[in-house]
Amino acid sequence: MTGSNEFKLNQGPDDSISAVKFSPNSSQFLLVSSWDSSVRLFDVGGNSLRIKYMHTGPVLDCAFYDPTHSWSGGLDCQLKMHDLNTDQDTIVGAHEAPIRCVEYCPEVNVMVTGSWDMSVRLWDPRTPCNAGTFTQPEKVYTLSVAGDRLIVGTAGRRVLVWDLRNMGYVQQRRESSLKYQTRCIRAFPNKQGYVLSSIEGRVAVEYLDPSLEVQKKKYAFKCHRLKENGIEQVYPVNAISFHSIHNTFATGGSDGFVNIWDPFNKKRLCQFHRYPTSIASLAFSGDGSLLAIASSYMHEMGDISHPADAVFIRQVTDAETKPKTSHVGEEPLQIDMNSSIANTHVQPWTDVYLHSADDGQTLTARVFVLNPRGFNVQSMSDHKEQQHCESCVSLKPDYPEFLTEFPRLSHPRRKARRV
Amino acid sequence: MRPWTQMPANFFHRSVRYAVYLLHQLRMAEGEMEWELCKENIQPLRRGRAMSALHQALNQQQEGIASAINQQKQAFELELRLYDGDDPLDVWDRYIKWVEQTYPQGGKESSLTVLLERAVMKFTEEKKYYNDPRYVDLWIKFTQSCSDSLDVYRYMQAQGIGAMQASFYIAWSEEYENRGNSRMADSIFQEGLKCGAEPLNRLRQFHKALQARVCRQMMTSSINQESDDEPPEPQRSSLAELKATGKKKSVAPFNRVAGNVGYARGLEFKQPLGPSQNSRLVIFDENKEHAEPQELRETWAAHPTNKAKENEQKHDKWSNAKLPQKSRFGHSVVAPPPKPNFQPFVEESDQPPAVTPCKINPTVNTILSARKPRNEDQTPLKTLQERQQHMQLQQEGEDKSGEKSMYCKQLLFSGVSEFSFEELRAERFRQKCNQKPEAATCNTNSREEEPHTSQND
Repeated sequence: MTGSNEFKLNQGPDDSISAVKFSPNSSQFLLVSSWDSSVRLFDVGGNSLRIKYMHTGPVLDCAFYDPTHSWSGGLDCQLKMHDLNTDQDTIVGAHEAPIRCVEYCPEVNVMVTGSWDMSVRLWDPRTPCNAGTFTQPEKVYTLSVAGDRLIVGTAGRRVLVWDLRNMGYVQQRRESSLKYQTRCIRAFPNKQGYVLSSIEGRVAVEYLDPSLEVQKKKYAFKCHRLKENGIEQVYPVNAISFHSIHNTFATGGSDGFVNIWDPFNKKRLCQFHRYPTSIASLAFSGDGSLLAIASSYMHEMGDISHPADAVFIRQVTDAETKPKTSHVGEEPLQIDMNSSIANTHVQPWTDVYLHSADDGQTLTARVFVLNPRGFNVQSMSDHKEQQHCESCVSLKPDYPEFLTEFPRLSHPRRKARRV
Repeated sequence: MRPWTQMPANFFHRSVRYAVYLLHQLRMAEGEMEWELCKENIQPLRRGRAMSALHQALNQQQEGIASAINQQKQAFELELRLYDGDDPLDVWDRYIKWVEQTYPQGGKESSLTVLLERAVMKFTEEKKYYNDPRYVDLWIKFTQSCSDSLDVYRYMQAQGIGAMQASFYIAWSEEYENRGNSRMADSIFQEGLKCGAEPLNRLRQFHKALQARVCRQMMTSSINQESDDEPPEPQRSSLAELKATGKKKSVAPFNRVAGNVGYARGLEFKQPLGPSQNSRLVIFDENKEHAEPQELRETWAAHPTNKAKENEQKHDKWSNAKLPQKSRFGHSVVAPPPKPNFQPFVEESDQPPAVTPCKINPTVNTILSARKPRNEDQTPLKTLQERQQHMQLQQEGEDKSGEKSMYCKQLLFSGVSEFSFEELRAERFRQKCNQKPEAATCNTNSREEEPHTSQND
């Protein structure tokens, strides 16, 4: 079953796997938390277990603070910090109920935990100590960090967006756009939105910007459903993980499948083979070359016999994770883009040659990436904004980086915008 | 001592009341008067309230931290899901009683109506509960939260739920009586007697009481009709001026229709009885020549539970109503209130008040928290019937939607709040851990254990 591009981790957990997380700066180390009360650190390259430490109860989530410190929490309600170099435990604090999720926010340098005690707590990882408790309306089921914003998914299908720099009030209160229980929320690496999955085979792509124009772009789709004897079997979608470079994401369901999606073209990029049992957790490595897949029964159907739990490491290629480019406009392109285009991740602009169809003139222009709704065209020659160019700008979509920055540049005559 | 069935029906009631009174005196003496201060927020219960529970509930709510309540609620919810004995109704019954006592002001947060609905629906297939007083009791409580309660009673009768329970007939007849239809109320009692509902004594007693009330009413209304020459139909015409009627041209009718007093249901029903049926106030009329000292009639207290579901639209007239405009996003936008056509006077020196920071931009809120409007036609009864059809289809192995959820849905969404797989599993894990110290030989596979224990019970 496991091909050359995939292998199973040895010495895996003895019970269900709750979470897998890659080290922030290398794809060599993988943290795995489990219901057998352990957190394990694996050397993925060598396929060996490096360190294992125990909680007093099943562990529900874990996260890296830095490459040498892991944080974890679970049914024992305690939040533990573990030094992976010295193999030393520190109990940082506790919730009143089991801790369901642990995340790290590098922008604000704070650890975030969500619990069934209907609260989110922040922890200062340097001291380490509690930096605040924030009551949520319901039990916290999932949370994700997008820049300095915190997206919390709770029972009752609620979604709350907090600003980690100002936790005085809830920035946005939302209701999940899906009809059933929220299973997982993960933020886009570009921090513009998040993906939410539900217990009944559906995934929603939503945007944080509350303006109508942006909100219009949100959508949801069905997935992780299998047709059997004419009856559609709908499975929970338990796991989401984003590819940090391409802004595409993988979803894992209780049907044992992993799909990779291109949220901009609304296409499925690929589907892997069926894993032995439910996908409990997924993690792309930081460079996006590896995908850790936890195949582990989550007791969705009660306590029944099930295949063994295992973590698979799969090498993924650009073909599987890069958005497919396609012509976005039907009209002939009016501007040719020079191939010497700069990577928009490095610079916030890119240089293009504009060719006017009317009088045959060619201009050099600089396209600035300003916000997801539009871009700015500036002539290099006189550094004045060229209004007449803006009306006919369209993208030759050979540059996937562009698509990741402009998810909705589908209209060829879309007006560029000055800010 | 007599057996309890032969006690006067209100014996318990009276003794409990007395106990409450004594307790009250005691508390007052101690200076604990909190519940006196929030009496308005306490919903009346048919069975009354335990003073201690009331105290506790009010105290906890004043503190603002309801963590203890939440914990207990959580425990009940878990018990609902993980109970494997042969009397699942027991958990529901205890849970609902606890909710009634713990949330004295009722309302949305107690989610009692949802709970009742779920409880009632849950056991519609369990014939063994049909004449269980607890189940019938749940049904009666449930009907009180429905707008079409008479239909629900009829449904119950058709299904045979509570057909042998006196309390069912009493509640049904009371409902008729409250709507002013004492003939039907009487016939309900007769039906109950014919069926031989238990306890028969109680049924008879309530029947007699009804007859007595009706008699008294007839008498007083006939007296009134003799003494007063008001028009026989006291239906008040709405929004009309109060006109002086009668020979003296000075008596304005102070009658109110029962519907306005006891029932804010929007249901129109005719008032068959005399005009002063609900006039509890005796209005002194100096113009009357022989002001008979009218006896203050003992009127039955209004049904304590006219709480229709909150925050749900009621049926009303549509002919002149305007539909809210749909925005482009499919949910209605509330039209802003019309601007007043006058300029409010503002003193020049007056500084605008400091704006308290708005927690959420309201314009943002409307887009983001899109909630689909609930189907208004959906009465509980309809959902019940639909559910039954659905169950039949499922038994035949055909699901209309052709979808099957691949997880234990009924476990996650059983009570009021939802649970995730992890929570259920965590609870099972905890139970297993607790069993371990007790039984030295802990079977790791609890799945095989559970059915046996339930059978042995």
